[in-house]
Amino acid sequence: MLAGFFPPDLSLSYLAALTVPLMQTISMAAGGMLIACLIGLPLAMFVGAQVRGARLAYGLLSGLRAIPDLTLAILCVVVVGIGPAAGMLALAIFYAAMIGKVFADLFLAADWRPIEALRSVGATRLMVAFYGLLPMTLTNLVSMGCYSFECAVRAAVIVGAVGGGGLGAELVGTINAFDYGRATTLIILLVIVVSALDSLSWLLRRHPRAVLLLIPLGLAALWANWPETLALRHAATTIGGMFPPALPLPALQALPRLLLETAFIAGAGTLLAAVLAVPLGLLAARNLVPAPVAMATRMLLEVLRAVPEVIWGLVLVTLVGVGPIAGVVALGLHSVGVLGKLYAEACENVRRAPVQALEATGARRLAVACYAILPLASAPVAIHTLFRLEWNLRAASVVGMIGAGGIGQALYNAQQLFFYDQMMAYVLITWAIVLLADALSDWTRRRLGWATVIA
Amino acid sequence: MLLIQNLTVRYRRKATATLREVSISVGAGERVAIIGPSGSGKTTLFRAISGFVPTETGRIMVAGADILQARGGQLRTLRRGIGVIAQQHDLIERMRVYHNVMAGALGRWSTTRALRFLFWPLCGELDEARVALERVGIAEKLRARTGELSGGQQQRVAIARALVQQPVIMLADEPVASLDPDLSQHILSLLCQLAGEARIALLCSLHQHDLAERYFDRILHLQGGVLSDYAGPAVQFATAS
Repeated sequence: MLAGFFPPDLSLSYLAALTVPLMQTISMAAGGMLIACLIGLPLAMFVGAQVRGARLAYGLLSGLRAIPDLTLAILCVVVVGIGPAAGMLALAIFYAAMIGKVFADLFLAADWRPIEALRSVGATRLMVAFYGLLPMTLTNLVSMGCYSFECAVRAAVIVGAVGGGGLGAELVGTINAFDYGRATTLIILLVIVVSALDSLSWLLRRHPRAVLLLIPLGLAALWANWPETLALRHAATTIGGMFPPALPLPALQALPRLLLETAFIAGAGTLLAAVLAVPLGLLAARNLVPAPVAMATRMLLEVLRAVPEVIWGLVLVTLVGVGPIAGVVALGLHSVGVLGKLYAEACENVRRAPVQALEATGARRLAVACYAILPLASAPVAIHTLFRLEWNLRAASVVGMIGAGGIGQALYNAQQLFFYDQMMAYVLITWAIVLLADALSDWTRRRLGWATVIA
Repeated sequence: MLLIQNLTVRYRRKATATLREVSISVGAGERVAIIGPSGSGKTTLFRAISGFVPTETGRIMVAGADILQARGGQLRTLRRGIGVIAQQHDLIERMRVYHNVMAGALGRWSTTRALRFLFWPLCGELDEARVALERVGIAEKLRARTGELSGGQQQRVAIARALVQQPVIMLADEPVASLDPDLSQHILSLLCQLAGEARIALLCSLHQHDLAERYFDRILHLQGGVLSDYAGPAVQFATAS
């Protein structure tokens, strides 16, 4: 079975044929991110300024972010029809909430002393935002923004698979046609695109003003993907059919098992990833191991990370069959890539002074790692892992939709059979789970005193 | 100019008050030093005067108005009259020096002017920043990135910002705590000279008795949240031990 995926189809004609879906996917992400930034950044500043209504806005952002992107995409396909416009709209909504929340967290975690100095001059909230919050957090904003853009490209592939077009539609097509060699080509292409974005993010962090150059790209993408029709009446009846959400008795009885299965996929996937990511992360930290080792490990992590859970899921379902195991491994593979990279960065970003103080005592490299780098990096490592668990709960319900078990599979079945009231019930349940996970991870972070959310 | 009456501040979940019945009066052009060990409530007192700390009792009159009663625009107008120099870490390190210096003018600038200055500073505005920097002796750093300056230079940028603000009251919270003795003397004499010239009420907290005695008109002693008159270093030392 695995042999079917090799060799990849690298013929010129196929590669040429991929240009259009590739451009579609990238433009979906670019247009969606432009809208997302235009909405998310002001909202985040509103929350960060801690004015009246900020808590409510923060709650709304968290609530919106908890709806899985694939679910949003399905809803958007209903409203604007099949095509890149639906994908772009879904990405715009999802990433507006994501950017809003993450940027707001960055603003709230900013050092209060310069902020208070500006306020003591008599500056208004807006001036404090532009003279304090934005410049203080700019580096983190840019790297989080680039990270979100990268996520958006991967998400554009996923939403493409449910009717957004682009590489996602192409991938589902090749797998359904048992054309696994071409599926491998698509995965390689995805890895290349994501690593190109990584280099872009490296450049932008050095020259944050270059972000402005992305605006024309986003505008062009918006123009190219603008929805041709707004089937509002059709959308209204379809969405009307989703209310009131209801589940028949057998589905209700099956619910606990489905929920457990989803929780199991998320938990086991995260655990698998965390266990593997610790050694890989240390091997990828440039301040711990020789450069060639770090480079090689980073390449491996990059490949794992570039391929989203749903795509790993599609591949694994053909390899190990339908069921939760495919889901666990799919989440695990992608999360190893993410966590390994984040763990490595946590090790690299520790404050230099304590590390140098230990090195100055003549301590060995391993001792320095154990006494300075690991303790200093443990808080971000824990935050990233918690955040990943939360993310994986959402992802677990999504990978279900391509046959990896759990509540996602039930959701997908209901949608395929046009039981929209059941589908909505599953959407709401998924949403509640993710909100709960969000609240739990928030509570844990606060209780342990990890206020900083730096990814 | 600055009149504090019976100020009591108690942080939540703390049994003892951080400041107890503190009363101070500082006139225009008067230079007052507050001496006290770490944790005695100096920073809390300064933040309270700017209206950043919820207070239990007391009044803080700034140029005739109670800052504790002020809200919104009125609070901002009062804050504009109070220049604050903290113990470093209150500059935006990413920005250029002239941005940080002219941030002192934000209280009197319109929003559009503030936004325009970020991307398009005019010559006149840069000159104003340069004049302020000249007074603290680092005019050549006008266009430098603030984060690249040394600690002492950053402290002087903070003073230049307070100058641009043209305050009637100047609060300096341990402005020389992390500086070497020569620079400490230089900065303190500069602050006192500026306060004298512009008839600013200067309230400054310090660790060093000798500096307080040399540069200030009056010295107060803060310990455990209680303010008392200063009775000379020997007596203070005896009570402390």
